[in-house]
Amino acid sequence: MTLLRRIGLKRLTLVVLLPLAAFALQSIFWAAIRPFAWFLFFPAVFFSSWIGGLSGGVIATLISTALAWWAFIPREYSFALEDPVSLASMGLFLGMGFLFGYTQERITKANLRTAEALAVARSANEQLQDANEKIEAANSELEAFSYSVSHDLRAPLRAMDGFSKILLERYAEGLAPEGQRYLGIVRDSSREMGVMVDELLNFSRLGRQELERRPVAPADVARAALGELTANGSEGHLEVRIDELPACRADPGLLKLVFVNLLGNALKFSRDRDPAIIEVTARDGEGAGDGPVYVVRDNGVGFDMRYADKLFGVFQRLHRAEEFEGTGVGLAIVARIVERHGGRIWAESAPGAGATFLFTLGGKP
Amino acid sequence: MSEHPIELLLVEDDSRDVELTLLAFQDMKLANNIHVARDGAEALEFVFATDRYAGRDVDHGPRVVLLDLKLPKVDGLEVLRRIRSDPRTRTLPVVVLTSSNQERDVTEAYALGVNSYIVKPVDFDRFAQAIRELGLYWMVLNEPPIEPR
Repeated sequence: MTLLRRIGLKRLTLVVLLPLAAFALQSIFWAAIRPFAWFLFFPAVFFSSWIGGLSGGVIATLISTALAWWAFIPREYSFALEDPVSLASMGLFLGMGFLFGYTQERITKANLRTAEALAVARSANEQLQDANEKIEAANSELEAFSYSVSHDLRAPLRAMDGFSKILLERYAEGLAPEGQRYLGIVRDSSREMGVMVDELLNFSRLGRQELERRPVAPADVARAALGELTANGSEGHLEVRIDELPACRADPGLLKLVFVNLLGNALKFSRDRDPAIIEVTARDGEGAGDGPVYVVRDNGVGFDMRYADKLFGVFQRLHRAEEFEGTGVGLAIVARIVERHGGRIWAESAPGAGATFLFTLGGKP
Repeated sequence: MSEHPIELLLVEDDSRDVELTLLAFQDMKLANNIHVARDGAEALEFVFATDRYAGRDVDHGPRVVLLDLKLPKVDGLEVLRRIRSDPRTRTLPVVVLTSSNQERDVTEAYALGVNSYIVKPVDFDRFAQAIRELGLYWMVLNEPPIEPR
């Protein structure tokens, strides 16, 4: 019964009927076919194997052998075997029948495996597509969000700044000096928030921007960044050393943003030193595939390592606004760029002892 | 015909921005020649002299349209598209004046044939400066297209 379960009743019937049909046809046309005793049994076995695999092939072969032996081997309608050639042809037919069955079985199984693999791949593909659609939806939601932030948050800020200004200009006489100072604070605050909105937008845009990796010379990028920062020439006594840095593959625009922010911080926090010393160097990375470690060091006010974990968060500041200006987005931008390159960033410092920022960019140079 | 020919159409839904823009123009003695449309639909009615503005003469259009992008009813880019696709207003100078500096908006506005794209600064001094320069450029310096619209 296992046989029946393996092949199925319909197929089993066909497997049995095919040799019988071959026998019937061959009997009718025996005069023409003679003396090729196995003639129509070949296709019968072949199709039976096709339908029933190994078991189908074996069943059809056995039935065919019995029928051909009895009906068409030289002494017709007896199971006698006088001729060694007949014996050989029978052995050949049996062997071929088994081989057919075996081959068909293997082909069928291979096909089945392919179909299964295809089904798995298809469902994986569908899942991927689902996930992609969700990501796209989330992305466009985020875009809509940042759009409305950029548009809707600015209008009221402009109104705060604008009407304060008009109040100060046209109605200054009616306002005590202290009142005018308060209005000045309102103006400053609204402008500061405007800057923060812009920086937050820039930050969120960084996450979606495509990375364009190209071979770059980081020393050139650092020098360009420094040139931008010191363009107005208001620094005091400043000593900058930029070493020849090992080349890397990075997004040139984003790498420049990294140096603009790190060097900008170095300049800002060392501006009270005489001389302010800033160094950009490199050393070998510790981990495999890390690439070189780029180092930006200053001799400025430094920070307490206890707060190092807050360093790279958005709007996180370790100094009071009166001491050092800034919104606290710069290092968050740096960290995000470095992370998007597959690199790491960390810092070493102590209060009053200057700060060192170290980063890798991942990937091979 | 009104006493002051309309030289500038300001399309802006935010009442505070309307007031600030008009205040900035006041210093230039141009505020009387400005008409304000508070949404995209009204802007289109004005430009094409339909519905509320059925009596207006289309040929005496404004010299320039200052167009915000995020507007009720019909958004700014759609207003721009309709202005550009009508032969009467194809050459009408349009300046986008908006809070959005989204790349997508900038790209699309230029693709639709905007003459200029200005992001409104939060800082009022810079905003007023931008408005004055805009007014001076488009209403005084720039020679408008002469072909019949």
